[in-house]
Amino acid sequence: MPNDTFVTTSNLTASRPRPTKGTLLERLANNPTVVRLVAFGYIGMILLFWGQIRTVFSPPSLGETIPRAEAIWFGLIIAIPFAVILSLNAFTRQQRTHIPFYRNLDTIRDMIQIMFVVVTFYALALLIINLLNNLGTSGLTINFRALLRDYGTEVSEGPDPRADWTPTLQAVPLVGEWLAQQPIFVPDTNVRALFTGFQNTLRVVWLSLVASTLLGVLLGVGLLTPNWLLRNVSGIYVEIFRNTPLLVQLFFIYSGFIRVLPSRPDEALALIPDVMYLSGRGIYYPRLIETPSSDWFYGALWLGLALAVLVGWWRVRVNEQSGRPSNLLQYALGTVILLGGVGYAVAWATAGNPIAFEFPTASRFNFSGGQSLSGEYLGLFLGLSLYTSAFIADIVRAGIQSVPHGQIEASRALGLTNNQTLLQIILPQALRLAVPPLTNQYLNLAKNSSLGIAIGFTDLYTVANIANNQSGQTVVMFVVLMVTYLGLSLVISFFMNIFNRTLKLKAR
Amino acid sequence: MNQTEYSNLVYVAPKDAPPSRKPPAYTIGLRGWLLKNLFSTRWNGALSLFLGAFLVWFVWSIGSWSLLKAEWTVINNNLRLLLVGQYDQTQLGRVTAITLVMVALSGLSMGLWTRVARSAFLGLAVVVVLLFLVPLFSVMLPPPPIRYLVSAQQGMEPYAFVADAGDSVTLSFEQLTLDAVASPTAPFNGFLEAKPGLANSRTVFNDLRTAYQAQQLDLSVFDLAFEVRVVDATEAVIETIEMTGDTLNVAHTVTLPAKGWYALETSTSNPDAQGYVWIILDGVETFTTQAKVEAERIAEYGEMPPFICADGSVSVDCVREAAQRELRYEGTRTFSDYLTIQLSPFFQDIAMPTFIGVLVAGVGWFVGNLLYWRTAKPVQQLASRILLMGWLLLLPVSWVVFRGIEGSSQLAVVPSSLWGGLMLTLILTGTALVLALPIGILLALGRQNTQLGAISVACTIFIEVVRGVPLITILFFAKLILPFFISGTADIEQAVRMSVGLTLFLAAYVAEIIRGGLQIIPKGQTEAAQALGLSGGWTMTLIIMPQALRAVIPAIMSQFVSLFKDTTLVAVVGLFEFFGIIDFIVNGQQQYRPYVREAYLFVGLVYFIISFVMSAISRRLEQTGVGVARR
Repeated sequence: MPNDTFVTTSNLTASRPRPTKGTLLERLANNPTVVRLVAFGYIGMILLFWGQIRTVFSPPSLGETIPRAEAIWFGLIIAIPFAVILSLNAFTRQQRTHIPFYRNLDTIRDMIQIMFVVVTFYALALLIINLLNNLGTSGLTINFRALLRDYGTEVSEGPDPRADWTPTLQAVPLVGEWLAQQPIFVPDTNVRALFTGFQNTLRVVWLSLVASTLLGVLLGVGLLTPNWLLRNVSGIYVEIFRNTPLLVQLFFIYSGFIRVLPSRPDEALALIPDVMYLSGRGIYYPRLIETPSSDWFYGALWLGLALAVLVGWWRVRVNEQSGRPSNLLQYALGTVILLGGVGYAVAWATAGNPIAFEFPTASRFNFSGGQSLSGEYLGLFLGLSLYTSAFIADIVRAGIQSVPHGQIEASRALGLTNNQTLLQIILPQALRLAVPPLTNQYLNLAKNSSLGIAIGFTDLYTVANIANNQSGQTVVMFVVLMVTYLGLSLVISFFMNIFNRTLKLKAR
Repeated sequence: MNQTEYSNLVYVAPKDAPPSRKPPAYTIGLRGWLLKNLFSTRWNGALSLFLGAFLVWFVWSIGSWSLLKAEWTVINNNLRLLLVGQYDQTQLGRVTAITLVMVALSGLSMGLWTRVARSAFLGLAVVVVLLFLVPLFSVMLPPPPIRYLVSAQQGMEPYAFVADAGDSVTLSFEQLTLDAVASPTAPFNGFLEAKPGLANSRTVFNDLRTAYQAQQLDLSVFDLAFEVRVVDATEAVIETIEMTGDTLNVAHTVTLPAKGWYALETSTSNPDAQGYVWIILDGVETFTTQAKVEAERIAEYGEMPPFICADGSVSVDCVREAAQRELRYEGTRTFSDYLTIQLSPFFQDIAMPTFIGVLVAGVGWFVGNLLYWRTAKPVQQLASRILLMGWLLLLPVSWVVFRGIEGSSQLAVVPSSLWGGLMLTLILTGTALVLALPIGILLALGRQNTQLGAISVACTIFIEVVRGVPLITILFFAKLILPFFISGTADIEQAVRMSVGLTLFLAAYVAEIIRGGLQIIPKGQTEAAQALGLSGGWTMTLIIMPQALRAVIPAIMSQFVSLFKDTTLVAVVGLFEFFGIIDFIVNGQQQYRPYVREAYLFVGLVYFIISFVMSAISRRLEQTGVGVARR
């Protein structure tokens, strides 16, 4: 008596083990070749009904509408192959078990799924047809070529979308000429503006990620120190920032503190006189510039960094094999400083001082020279970092508290200092627990960066919003936004998953 | 063996107990506490000192700013806007009625459902709804006085304001002294224009201070004399006030004859006169520059008067331009001023509503207690169910009552575009909360169900997509695309669209939380249910789901707190909820523009109190064991 035919309701949580031997059709359904064939069958069906699909997806011109009855095709196209296979399956099942198909739970489940698929796709197609018809009558037919239209206005931050990329693209070997002719690289189109917006988003996200993590770890440790004052200050900070909306914080920081600063350069706040200025328009700081000898120095510095990685790897191996302290930091820093120093000396000997700065100088209307971060960038960066760090602090606290106290006692017994205990015993173990919720916070941070629109930071969402206002292509912009943010979320979770895997306990 | 020998051999307790030894002095008392908590190591000591100094500075500067400089009248005067937005003023009774029902229900619940956590939650509801009663009784405060620094060379730009018949405006003059220039804070008391590049009181004063610091300022000669004219829209002079050295520090009250526009103009006969004078203007409502509000004012008060501009021409625009300058209050005041001007009116406003609210809640609590202690179990259960129904019905009822019914004379329609303030925030949060819970449960069950693969895949896609994009993108969708699914014209009200967006968003998150809850229920529960002969559906409804829901209550509550904060985002897509209304207030009433900080602080504080109490309750629930699955 085959087990799988004894139908119970017990299989809610555990998935039913697949039968190793079943009916011919069931074996077919488990055969990858057959499954592939079925997939091809789907494609064939879609080709067959291509005319129908086109009427739905080709935008109707003005005054023309798609009949709603078309929608049912979608449910059917998707469901018919399913239905054929599953009803054959049901038939053989009935032959085998002598349970009528309408009482066989497996068959009933199959039927429910088919009905669900039909209804879902019907409803979706109905909504889409409605959308297309309504957009068509409003003269807003969906057109992805809107992305190639002129953006027209300036993007106040980041790389200029009006910059001409032709020379750079042509320099690409083999496909350069072809690339340069592609319409998405034409300057000043919506695509280019969106790309600039996306770069701005990335710029603010990565810096906030770093800052909020550092501040969050400090606060998390602060939440557990024996120092009463530090503990309570950290606690109050965390409570305040967790329990007020990010938007209020952003506005408070931006309009309460940054925008009220004088915007005229000669009234700007000198953080470090002649070097760093803060005004209502942003923060101005020196820029590193090239000198005749700077190649020597920076080349040596990069080489030193690369060597430091190798040295670090060697020290870790020494530590693992002999148990002697790795002194990782000392060795790595030493390598960098040594090579950097040699590079500096060589550069100095060949063509004078390799390090030079260009300082911002106040002119009548703006600062010239140096580098700057806009006030909006600063506001968004501060808001995101402060807000997220409060959540990270709580995660770090929970992680640290989860480390068994015996670990700390054992490390004391081994004679480790407080700092060693914290850095080598507690934090590595705490991090392991903290990484999954930390990933969540990073994702939240990336998504929250879209609030830049509230204070006028030209991130992806702001640019998409402007492009939408200009072109009326709401659906296109929505798709762009959705795909980009989903992609960003996926990338962040991908890297955090890798990080998580490297942190996991390696059982020997 | 005598006594001494014996006592050498064994220990004999002395007759009197030895004096009890005190703990070392450095472990007890204030000193002990300080040593233990603040100065345990050298580094800790340094850190404590540094942090302590920082804290003292921080608290001192915040405190002195909020007591002496901040202008909290922006909140008191706009309390109605903050709470209910632009809701029809004649229909405020509806809000009050719903609020009173809510207060009464809270009271009843406190009496009938005795659990501590619940009553704390309901206590919070009482706090929130008390705020709603305020607009009924609130009294407007006079706007802060306006100051202009005037000299013979630097006259006053024409200044426009609106007034009703019988309103009175007080003008007084105050000589600028050397002491005032020398003092770092003193004379900056009132409105000063801060638009850069224009000659105005602030820049004039700054120049004077620079001159003083260079010891080139001489204010000893004072022979300034000019006249101030109050004119109406037809350029008829209502009153002329002579300013000479004799009329300094005397208040001149001008009673305005009719409803309309008025303006102040100054002129001097001697352009070489020396000295500076502050003109202090009290009791005026300045006109605003936001085009719509200005148009409303013009509709109400008639056309704006033409003015003699700085270059001698006559036009309306120069006043408009003058009024568009940013005004900033950089005043100092005494603590008693803070109490009388800022604090006491606020408490006077809320005293009566608080009394009514507490009375209603108290009666409810008394009735609830009676039901709980004095009635039989079945009656209690019935009352409890009715109460629950009341809470559940409150939301749809308040939608209907706030919105009104088409064609009804009693409940005329108030379109939801006029809703705003805390009321809108609470309605949006409440709607999302009530709708998202069942949808979330369905989604969680759908995703969990491995036997119906198609449904599981569909639910997973929905949940992951919604969780992967920012809320603002979903609101963008809800605002701009959603209406096109239904009809070509955008005739779905904004509040409804936003509710849909928030509900979809919250449902995805709630689904994931509930799925987590379902996963931690031990398999033995399912097996036991089957052994009792329950079918799959009943196992889920009666055994698994109640336990899973109980286990995730804290997590769901923190998600609700998070949503409550996230409703601020609807301000970005154009609704004036509790946060967005600030923008409306400062754009509509120019005189409050400098006090944005105060307004944001107030809003942040209200959000903080509500969220903090909710999270505290959720933590408390966790401690009492709600958030744990039974093993």
